[in-house]
Amino acid sequence: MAETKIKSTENSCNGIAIAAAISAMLGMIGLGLSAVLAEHSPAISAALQRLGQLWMPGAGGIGPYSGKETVAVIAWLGSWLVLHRLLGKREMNSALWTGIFVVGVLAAMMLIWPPMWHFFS
Amino acid sequence: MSSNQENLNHHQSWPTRSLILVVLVFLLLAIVTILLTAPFAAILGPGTYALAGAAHGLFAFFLLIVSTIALYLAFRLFTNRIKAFPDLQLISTVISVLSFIAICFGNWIYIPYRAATSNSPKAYFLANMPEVHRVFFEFKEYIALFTLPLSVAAAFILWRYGKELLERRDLRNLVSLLLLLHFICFTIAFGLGAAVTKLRPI
Repeated sequence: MAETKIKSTENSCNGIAIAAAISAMLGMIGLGLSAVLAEHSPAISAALQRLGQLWMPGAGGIGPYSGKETVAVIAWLGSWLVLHRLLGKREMNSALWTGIFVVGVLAAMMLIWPPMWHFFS
Repeated sequence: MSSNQENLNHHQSWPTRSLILVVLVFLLLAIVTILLTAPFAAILGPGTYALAGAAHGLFAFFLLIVSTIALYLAFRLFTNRIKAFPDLQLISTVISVLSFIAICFGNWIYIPYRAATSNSPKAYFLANMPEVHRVFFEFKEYIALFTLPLSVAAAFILWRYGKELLERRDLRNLVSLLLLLHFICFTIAFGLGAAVTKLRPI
């Protein structure tokens, strides 16, 4: 164990790490929700395509997928900015938030599994 | 060190250096010859997107190698027996960059995949094997995107906390989990991408 005995250089709270992980999870859930909604609503699918075409080169060629990516990026980076400010100086319950993160990632995986989309219709 | 000893060292090291130089020159010549004469267009295949498709596969293959190393280091981190912590910081950054590049090239080749022509891979699958597109490809194109936030979050935490992270079990567990999930998402996307390409390349 001697190999891991390295002194701390600063005393940081775990809120920064929790914010990074939870925002990644929110980005994934954003992607999953936009995939489900686009599957069931042509209007949302068209709106997502227009959203992607606002900034992504070649977005016209990949359809609403560009908008789903945009939603995911906004949900991920936007929530990271907010959560970093909110949780950055806090010591969080790691077990609880890691559990929330795992459940959220599994939920996002379920949302992007196409056979599940029909359960929402 | 005497003058004679210095001369002796010089005479011993020079042949080694010159040999390395000769090998490098030969390697350079071989690479230049291959680049100038090999019919790369034939191996890439026809089509405007052949190069983008090759780049997507190449970067995904690099990512497979590096994310496997990252998974091993994540296991060492999880068990608190990591020696190469700076390597893990570097590799987590590399997998983030490679994930981003592979996603960009993936977006690019998605254009010919879903092109509104009768011979596009999507049209072919919908006509002959609809489940391949509707289940496996759709899942692949989404789960591949998961790799970026997972690897970026892991890299950010590793750099932000530095070696302080080694003394915090909760953060070690979280980073290990992020890298494990990154590996799982990536290998699913890689495997499905290889399978779909085998059935119908762009």
